[in-house]
Amino acid sequence: MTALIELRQVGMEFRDGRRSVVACREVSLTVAEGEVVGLVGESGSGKSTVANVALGLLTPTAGEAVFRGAALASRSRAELRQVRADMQAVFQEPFLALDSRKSVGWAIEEPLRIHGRGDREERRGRVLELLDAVGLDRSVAGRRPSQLSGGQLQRVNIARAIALRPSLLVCDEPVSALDVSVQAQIINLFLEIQESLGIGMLFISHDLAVVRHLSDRIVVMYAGRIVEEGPTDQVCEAPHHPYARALLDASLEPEPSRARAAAAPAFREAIPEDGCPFAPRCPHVEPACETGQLPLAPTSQGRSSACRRALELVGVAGNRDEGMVRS
Amino acid sequence: MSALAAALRERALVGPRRVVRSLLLVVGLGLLLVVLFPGLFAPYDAYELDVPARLQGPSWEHLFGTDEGGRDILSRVLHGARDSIGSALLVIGIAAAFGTLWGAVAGWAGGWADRVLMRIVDVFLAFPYLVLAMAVAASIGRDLRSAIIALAVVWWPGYARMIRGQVLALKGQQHVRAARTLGAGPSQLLRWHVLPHTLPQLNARVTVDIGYALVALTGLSFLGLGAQNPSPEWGLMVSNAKTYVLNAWWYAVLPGAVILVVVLYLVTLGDELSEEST
Amino acid sequence: MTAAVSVRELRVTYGGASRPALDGVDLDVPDRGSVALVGESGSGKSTLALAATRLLDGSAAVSAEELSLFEADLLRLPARELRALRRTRVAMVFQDPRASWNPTRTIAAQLLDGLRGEARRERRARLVEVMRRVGIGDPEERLDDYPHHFSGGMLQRAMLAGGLAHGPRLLIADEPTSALDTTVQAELLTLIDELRVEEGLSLLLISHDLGVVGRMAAEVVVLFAGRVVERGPTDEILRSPQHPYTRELIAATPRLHGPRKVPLRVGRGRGPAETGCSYAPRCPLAVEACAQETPPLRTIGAVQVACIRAPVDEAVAG
Repeated sequence: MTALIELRQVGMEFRDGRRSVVACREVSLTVAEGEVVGLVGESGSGKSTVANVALGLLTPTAGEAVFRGAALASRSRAELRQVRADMQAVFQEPFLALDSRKSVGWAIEEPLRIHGRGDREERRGRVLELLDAVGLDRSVAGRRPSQLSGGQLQRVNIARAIALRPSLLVCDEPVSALDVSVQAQIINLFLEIQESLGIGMLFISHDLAVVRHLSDRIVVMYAGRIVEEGPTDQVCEAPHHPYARALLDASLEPEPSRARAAAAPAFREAIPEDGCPFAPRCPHVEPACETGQLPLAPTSQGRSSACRRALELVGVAGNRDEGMVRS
Repeated sequence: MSALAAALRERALVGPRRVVRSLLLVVGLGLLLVVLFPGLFAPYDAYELDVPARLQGPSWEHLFGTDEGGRDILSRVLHGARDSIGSALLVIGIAAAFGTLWGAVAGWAGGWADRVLMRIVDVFLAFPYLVLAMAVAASIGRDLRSAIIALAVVWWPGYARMIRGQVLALKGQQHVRAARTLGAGPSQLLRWHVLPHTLPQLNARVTVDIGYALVALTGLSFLGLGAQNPSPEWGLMVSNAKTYVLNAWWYAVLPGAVILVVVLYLVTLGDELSEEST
Repeated sequence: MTAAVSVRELRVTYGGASRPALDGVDLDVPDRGSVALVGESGSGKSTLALAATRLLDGSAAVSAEELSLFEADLLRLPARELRALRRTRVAMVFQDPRASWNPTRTIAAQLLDGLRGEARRERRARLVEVMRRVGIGDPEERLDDYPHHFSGGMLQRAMLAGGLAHGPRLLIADEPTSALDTTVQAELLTLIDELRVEEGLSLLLISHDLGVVGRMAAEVVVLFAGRVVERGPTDEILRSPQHPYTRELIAATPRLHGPRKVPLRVGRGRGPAETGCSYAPRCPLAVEACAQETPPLRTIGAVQVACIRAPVDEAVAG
């Protein structure tokens, strides 16, 4: 499978006068054609920064973002425009992503207009087709964003994003602002579209269950770094990093047994400069964790972990499919 | 959005406001007609002299009385509307267009271009506006055209600053980012997604400013720097009237009252429009 | 033991709205009990919590047969006593931590506002104590920080601290963890649990997340379009939901186990009906009779359900 987008050791540092904030560091990930990669992390983990770098909205201060073999930063303006037709985005806030003064139909038509696809008649026709594809009534085209609900607006955003039939869709928390039932509908829509159009997706969310439902592979981020990566099933059944383990244990399902979640990791605030960022909260921490590098290393076929004790802690008899021991 | 917020937004236009709105609309239409077709409303010619009838007080034949040349003041006021209001419109039109362009470029470009452009604006804004207008008007020439240019020169920096501020804020908004992701270039982003959002504030300010420009224009004419005789421009009329103010009060007071009413109207209209945009 | 909250036949209509936000709702929060309100936006769950403490402003028309907080009749209480009662007996935590704090004032300044009476030094000492209690390290220094120095989870803790300072007996938490990741959420919920036990607090939780509800509340009230559609012990309802809307909510939640990459079982959401059962347009089990009149709440076993098709066999609902 050809790689659509590749982030190679991407780092992003924001400078504000003397202060600097490192939003992410040494992030490498790939999305292949037709593949859905889920990126999980809490707010502040750097996942939105990764999205913006992938979309070319931010130029990374370290590393590079490569789309279809050519680095985004080295492309000319005309080439970037071509790239944009091939890589689209759906953002978190459905209402804010749309221009409040323009009708919904205008918004969906916009990418077609920008890239000069077809004449006015053809574009209008395509807008109606897209409305059908996302399950909206055609009469919605003439309305303004303020007249539609969150769920409807997100469908509009999706319609706008697939208008040019892109190969890659970058979705940054697209369902987090929606009610549970509406969220489910939009998840179903994503499933449908992904299957019928064969689109590759980078799906970003803080909700592990949502990511699990849609992705083929999962990447887990913590404090700006990738801490684990692997096929969805395997990571969710048997994680290879203590943070992923903690995320899974802490997740609450609507099940009758109100068994307390496993004791949540101790509460600490500061992210240490050196060593593993999760060290202050890790039940398996040892002195060596607090200094030195921590590379993302393979733990088994197609999986990697940034925990230096991963191989040791996974499984009892070294069986990599057992996953990280609970604390 | 909570039901509470939604309900608050449904607050309907209540009775008194509707009446005010309709009134403003009617007056506005009336003014527009007078500016375009003064001949329809004026009972007499604005320039024809009739010296025997000079300086007569208000009567049924001459509702506003006559001036030192026997000309009907009401007719001159109606004809002067075009000069006064029309010129005010021109002043603000030029100032707003130029200022918007300047401010949009500065706000969008950012960096050193923004700094340079806004420094120039600051220089202009440092002068007291009337002094600057007088200086420019006097150096170009003493007529209505130079008064208009002078005031436009004085007025554009305010617009530049306002638009630049708005463009800066809008530049970072999510819908602009989303459009950029779609592949829109700077010109498209500005035209479709940034500048249209400046319109509500711009409209409100323009309407109020036309009123103020009218005052400034008549002021310049009063000082001899604007329209010249025998033009029926309002400021000029009041200036001429000052010689006769003791025995022909109507000559200064009535045109002055008209100026007051029109300016009040324009400012009120501006307030209504800015209420709507917020 | 006095009930914390006792509401009967509550009706709330916002000024200018055509339909009531709440239409004849009952609510009981027992002393030291925990009740969760579940529903989507527009269901009235936040309205119910606000109305129960008379926090809705004048533009909302509120009527009820009974509305009492720790046995004080809120319908008759004069405004000043009402405010005092709220301040000393009720602690509230809202959804978006960043939106609840003024970014231009320190945490201390904002929390001290709520404490009145004693000298400043004593108030500050009390704040330090509760901040420590909620797990904020170095509370002495952190009190003088600004909100942007705190993470989302910390801000929620600070909000709890502010509420705790009075020794409240009721905690109202409106989506307290929806902006936080699961680990931070777990910590915060554990904290709330501990506080409940130690301080003897009653909990009124509002959430759309049934997982959180399952963890925190002994009793759940499911709201749809301003009416209660199901009510009862949480375990019972999660094990065997009777109302089709409750089933929809449960089916709509993606899981960490079981099949994935398959469509979740939800229908196309349609707006609530004006007459008859408001859920009927969306309901997979709707029949003609459903549009005729609003189904009353009936008791079936341990729960109350407002559905004429209940009790439903698992197999039928399929």
